Amino acid sequence: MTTAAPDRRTTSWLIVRIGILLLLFILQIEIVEISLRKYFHQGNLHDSVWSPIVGSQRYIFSFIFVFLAAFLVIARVRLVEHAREFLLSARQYRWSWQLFFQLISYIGFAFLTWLLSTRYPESAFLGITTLLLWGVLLFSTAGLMLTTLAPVVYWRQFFSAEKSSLLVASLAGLMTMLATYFLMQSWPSMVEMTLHFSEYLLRLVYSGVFVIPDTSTLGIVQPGIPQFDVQVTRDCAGYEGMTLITVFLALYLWLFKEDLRFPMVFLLFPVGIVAMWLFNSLRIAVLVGIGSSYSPEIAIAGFHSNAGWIAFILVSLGLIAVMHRVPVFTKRQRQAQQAPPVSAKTASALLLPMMVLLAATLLTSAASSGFDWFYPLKVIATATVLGVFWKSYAFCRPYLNVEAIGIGIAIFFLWMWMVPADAEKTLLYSEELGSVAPWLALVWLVFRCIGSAITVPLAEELAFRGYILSRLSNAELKMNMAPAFSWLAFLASSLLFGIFHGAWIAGTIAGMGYALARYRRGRVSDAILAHMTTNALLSAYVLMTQQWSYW
Amino acid sequence: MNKLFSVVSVSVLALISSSAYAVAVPEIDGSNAAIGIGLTVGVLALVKEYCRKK
Repeated sequence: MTTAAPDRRTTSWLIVRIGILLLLFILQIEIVEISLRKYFHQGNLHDSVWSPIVGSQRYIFSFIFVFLAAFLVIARVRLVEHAREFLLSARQYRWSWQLFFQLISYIGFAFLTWLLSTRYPESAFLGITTLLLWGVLLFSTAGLMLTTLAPVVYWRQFFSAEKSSLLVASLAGLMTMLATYFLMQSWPSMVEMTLHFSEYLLRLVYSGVFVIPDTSTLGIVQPGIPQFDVQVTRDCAGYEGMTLITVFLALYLWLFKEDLRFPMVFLLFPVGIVAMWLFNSLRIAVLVGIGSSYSPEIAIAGFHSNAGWIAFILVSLGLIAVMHRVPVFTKRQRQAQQAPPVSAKTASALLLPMMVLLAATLLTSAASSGFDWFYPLKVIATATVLGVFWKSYAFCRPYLNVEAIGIGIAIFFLWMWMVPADAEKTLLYSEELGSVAPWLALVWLVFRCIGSAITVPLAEELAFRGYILSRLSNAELKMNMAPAFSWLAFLASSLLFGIFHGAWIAGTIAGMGYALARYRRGRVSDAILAHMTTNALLSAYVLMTQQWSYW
Repeated sequence: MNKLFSVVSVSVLALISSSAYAVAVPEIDGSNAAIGIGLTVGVLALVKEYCRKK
C-alpha cells in the first residue's frame, strides 16, 4: 500500500507532463498554420512558395491517412507493449534540455516559414539553400518533439522493432497517392461517359434531347414547355457513389470475412462500382425528365441529392443479397436453412421502425422541394412496422412515470433555449400551408403531430436507447432491463442521436437525458415517454406560436 | 498462408477504400449523409445480428 501511492502519483504526473507537451506541440503547429492563413487571407496560398504543398494536400492527406491506418493495423498487437515501455522509459527521464532545444529549433523553423512566405522569391538569397534549411528545421523540430517525450534509447528501440511495419505502411501510403493520382486523371472521361449514357437513356423516352459537349450540358426542349437542362460536372460523374460502394464493400468484407469466400467476393467490387455508375447515369436522366415534364424545383431541390443515396442503398442491399445467397460467395449455405437467433428478431423489432422512417424520409424528400407534403406517408409506414412488431416490445404497465415526464419537460425547455428559430423555414411552412385548402392543411397538421409526438419517439428510442445503448454496452437486447452503465455507450449513443438532429449539441444533451430515463428503471418505455413528452410540448408550442421551424 | 492471404486482402481493401475516400470525400454533399449512412449502418447491424452464432 505504501509503495503504490508514490507510483500512482508518478504516473499521474507523467501523464500530465505528456499532455502538456502534446498541447504545446499542437499550439506550435497552430501558430504557424494560423499565421500563414492570416497572411495569405485564406486562399492566396496557391500563389506563394507553399503552392506545391497546398496543391498536393489531397495526396499528403491520403498518404498520412493510409500510413497511420496501415501502421495501426499491422502493429496493433504490439502497441500495448510499446505504450508500457514508453511510460517506463519516460518515468525517470530528464527532458528540460530537449525541450529547450526543441523550442530553439521551432523558433528557427517559424522564422524561416515567415521569411519564405513574405520575401520569396524577390530576395535572391532565399534560394534552394533556404528551402533545404527549412526542411532540416522541420525534421529537427519534429524529432526533438519525440525526444522531449521519451529518451532517444526508447525511440531507437521502437523504430528498430517497427521498421518493417513502418516500411509497409509507407509503401501503402505511396501506393494510395498513386491510386489517387490515376483516379483523378480519369475525371474528365468519366464526365463524358456519364453525359452520353444519360443522353442515351433520355432519348429512349424523349424526342427533344440535346447535349452541349463543351459545357457538359444535357437538356430537353419540348414545344410549349420551358427548356430544362443540367450541367454534368465532375461531382455528378458518379465517383462519389462509386467511392461509397467501395468503402461499404471493404467494410462489409471485413465484418463478414468468416462467412465469405475469398478471393471470389472481390469480384463484387467491379460489379458494385459499375452498378453505381449505371444508377448515377439513370439518376441524371430521370432528373432531367422530372425537371422538364413535372417540376424543376423538385428535380433540383429534392430528387437531385436524395436519389444518389437511394441508389446507394439499393445497390448495397443487392450486393448483400448476392453475397449471402450465391454459393460462390458464401460459406453459410447450409446454415441459411436454420432459424435465425432470437436476438435477431428482437434486433429487427428495435431497428426496423427507425430504418423504415429513414427510408421513407429519403423517398418523400426526393419527391419534394423544401416542404414535405408526403409526411403522412412516413407516419403510416412507421406505424405499420411498429404494429407488426408491437407484441415483441412487451411494454410494462403502468406506462406513466413522473421522472420520465420531468426529463421530457426539461429537455423541451433546453431545446427551446439552445436551438434558435429558423425564420426562412417558418416562412416556407406558412406559405405552403396557406396555399392549399384548409381541410388539407388540417389533415397534414394532424399527421405531423402524430408523427412528432408518437411514431418518431417510438422509432428513435427503440433504435438509440433500445438497440444501440445495449449493444455498445455488450449487453443482451432487453426491453425492461437496462444494461450496466457504460460511459462509452452512454456518450456514443447520445452523440449519434445528436448528429441525427442537426443541432448536434442540443441533440446530444437530449440523447443523454433520454438515456438517463432508460437507466433509472431499465425500461425503454421510460425513454420513449420522455421523448414523447418533449415532442408533444414542441408540437403544442409550434401550433400555438406558428414557429414551424421547431418541427 | 491463410494469414498472409488475409493480410494481403485487408491491405488491398484498405488501399482501394482509402484512395477512393481521399478522392471523393472532399466533394460529398453532407445534407443527407446522416440518413444514408444511418440506413447503411442499420442494414449492417441487422445482417450481423442474423449471422450471429446461436
